[in-house]
Order: sequence, then C-alpha cells, then structure tokens
Amino acid sequence: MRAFFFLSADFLRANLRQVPAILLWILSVGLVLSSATALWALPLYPTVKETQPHRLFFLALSPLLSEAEITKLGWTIWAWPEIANVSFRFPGEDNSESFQERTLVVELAPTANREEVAQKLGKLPGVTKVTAYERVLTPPPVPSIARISAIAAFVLSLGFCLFWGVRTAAKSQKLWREESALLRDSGLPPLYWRSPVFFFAGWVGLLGAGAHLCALWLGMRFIPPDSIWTQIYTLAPWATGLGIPAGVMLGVLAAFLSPHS
Amino acid sequence: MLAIQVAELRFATEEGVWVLENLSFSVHRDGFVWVVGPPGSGKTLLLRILLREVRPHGGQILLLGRNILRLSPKKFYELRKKVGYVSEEVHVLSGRTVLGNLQFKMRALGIGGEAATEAIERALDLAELHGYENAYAKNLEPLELRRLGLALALCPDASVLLLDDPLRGLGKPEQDAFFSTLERINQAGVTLLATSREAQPLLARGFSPDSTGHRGIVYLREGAR
Repeated sequence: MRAFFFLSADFLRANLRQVPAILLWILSVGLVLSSATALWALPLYPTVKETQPHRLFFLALSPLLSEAEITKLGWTIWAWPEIANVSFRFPGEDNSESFQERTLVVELAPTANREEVAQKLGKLPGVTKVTAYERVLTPPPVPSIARISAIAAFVLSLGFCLFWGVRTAAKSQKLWREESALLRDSGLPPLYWRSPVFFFAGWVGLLGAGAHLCALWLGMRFIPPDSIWTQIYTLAPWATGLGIPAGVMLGVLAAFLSPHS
Repeated sequence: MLAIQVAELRFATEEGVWVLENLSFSVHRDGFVWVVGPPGSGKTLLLRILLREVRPHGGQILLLGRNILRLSPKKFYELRKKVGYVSEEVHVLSGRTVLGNLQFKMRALGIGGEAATEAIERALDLAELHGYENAYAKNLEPLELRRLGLALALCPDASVLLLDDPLRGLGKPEQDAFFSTLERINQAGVTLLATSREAQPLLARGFSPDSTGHRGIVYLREGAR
C-alpha cells in the first residue's frame, strides 16, 4: 500500500507540468454534473402541489403602532400553529399586491380554518382591517429553449469532458512513461504501473464533483421563488449524493478509455 | 546447481513461423551464457518467455528451480524479484540522478530504510557506479547508462540477470569496460544470460559453444517457415 501511494504521488508530481489541462478537465467534469442536474431539475409539466392556492390575510395596521410593536405582533401571529408565514409590507411597496397602509401578510397553514383565524386576527390590538386573499401561483411554462439548452449543454459537456479527459490522461501517462517502463522492466505487475492514472483520474473526478456541488449550493441562494428551477431544492441532496460517485466514475472512465503508453 | 533450464522450447508466430524450435540449454548458478543469433532469431523473444511476458507453444522452463509456466501469478511475482532484466533500450528516469533512479525503484517495491540503502550500495558497487551517484541519467555516457541499467536490474537482490543485446551501440573500449563490469557481477554470484548478434567478441573472451552452462554460447538460427 505504501508503494501504491508513493507511485500515485510520483504520478501527480509528474503531472504538475500540465496543471492548466487538469484544471480544465476538473471543470469539464463539474460542467457535466451541473448540466445533468439542470436537465433533471427542469419540470416536465406543472405539478398539482404547485397549483394549490396560497391562503392569505392582509392585516392593515394602525398608524399608531411603533416599529417594535409591529415586530412583536408579527412574532405573536407567527407562533400560532395555524400560521405558515408572516411578512411585512410598507405602503406603496412594489409587489404583486399594492397596499395603502402598513400591512402584515399572513399565510395560513394548509389545514387551518380560515374563519377561526380571521376572527382571532381581527381581535388583535393595532389591526384595523383583515382582508382575506387567495393567491394561485401558476408555475411559468418551461420554455422549450431552456430544455433544448439544457440537453445541448449536457451532451456537449459530456463529449468535451470525455475527449479532454482521455487526452489529458494519455498525456499524463506519457509524462510518466519512463517510470512505467522502469516498473515494467522490474517485473512489477501492470496493476502497479497502470493504477496511478486511475487514482489520479478518480481525484480529478472528485474535484470536478466538488466544483459542481459548490456551483449547485451557491446557485440555490440566488434562485427566485417563482423560477422554473425551484425543483432544484428537492433534488439538491440527490444531486450531491449521486454527483460525487458520478464525478469519480467520469474521471476513471476517461482514464480507462485513454491509450496507455 | 542450475539457475536456468530450458528444455525443448518451441514458439511459432501467428503466421506459422517457428522462431524457436526445440531449444534446450541450461545455465549454472555461477554461469555466464550468451544467446547468439541474427535479428529475428528469437533472442528477445526467449528473454520475454523467461520473464513470462510471452507464453511458449511447448517445452519446459525452470528458473531458479521453479517451473515458471506452472506458477501462480503471485508466486511468479515473488520469483521475478530475483530476476533482473535490462532491455535493449535501457529504461531509466532521465530527469533523476543515478541515486534517484535506484531510490525510485526501491520505493516502488515498498523497500525502505536500511534494506534499501544496503541494496543500493551493493548495486552501485557491482555496477561500478560509485562516483556517479549524483549524476543525472540524461547526462550519462552510453557506458554509464548501461551500468545504471545493470544497477537497477540488480536491485534489490537479483540473483539472475537477463540482458538484451547489452553490447549493441558500444565502441570497443566501452565494450571491454562493460564486459569487465559483467564479469565482476558474475563473480559476485549472479547468473548472467545475455543476447548478442555477434559471436566473435564473445569467442575472443573465452566463451565457447562447447561449454554451455558456465561460460557458454547458445546459437539460435533464423526463424524458418
């Protein structure tokens, strides 16, 4: 095992001469995984869950309430089990619904009784008016260009990743050809002088998967709530779990396909 | 005591050319034997068969008393550690020093510490490379390069050396110097089996077709259809 790690480290050392090509290989693996995840995350059609209405109450607030009192009121309402979410709107705030006065937007939990909650809300001090509202969020249609782009990105990135991976793996073996010839002459079995390239390619795949995961988790922070990409939140753990072995496999596959010197 | 015993060895190419036909010879433990033949007569092939890189179509081969054609890969690998090989084009690490080359091989074999130091010292001594330890392989003259090949083949503790056309490309003075190195290695108890295209330089140094086993010559004829 000590010999294997020595040879793998020596193989990596020999490959320091082609760092830019290796970085590109790592990025290409990341690109394949990201484009595959994008393709997977694109919804095929609107789901039932997405078309369910959001039941809301708009609570108009008294102009006498201080900011601290509004915050306290918001927390009080949010603590109720019938409430899913509470948010604050300024008068004239640019939104899908416009408000004339300071307003708390209260979203009901799916199982809550609307009338009971409306009565409770109306009795709260500082609330001048309670308006029921129902918002139906229709998911935007998936533009065909998005789907075509995702398929094209996946196919192209996979092709490039394999082409570049095979090329770089072949070059890496060429950079180590003297060492492998010496090991061959020494009577060491092929496992010895062939395995470092697989070890190396596995690491490239792993780093590629790491790049993909960074892009995925960073990208999720910037997805707007009404975007066609929201399904990514559900898929993220799967994309993480599958991305790592898939990345390693992509790297090793390129090494397997590369002609050995 | 025999180090190498080849009996009725046969090998034919895919085209049906018998390159080796009923070849038999033996090499004693302290022997130094040359296999001589024209290009295409099967000299390199014979060495590759002895290294089990190529499987013959018939015959028996005993290497250090073991039938190599019947050994499991694991047992052959253990036996192979005792057999050093220097190919016609000596394979060294050009960007490393003589010492660096030897250390690389030892580490690749998983041998370190005192055992590695001793084996390297013995190889440097037998291959007459003392004073060249820190010289880069790419800067070595052909003679020293061959000696580095020998040192690498001797590491860690080879008792048999197989040399593929080691005199080729060397001038007369270098051949003499290399011969003396080979004699020195042989006198240290290492069995040598080498190949050559020409018999004359060997006959001049006392090798004889009649005394196979110790200081002999085995002739190979060109493969015939």
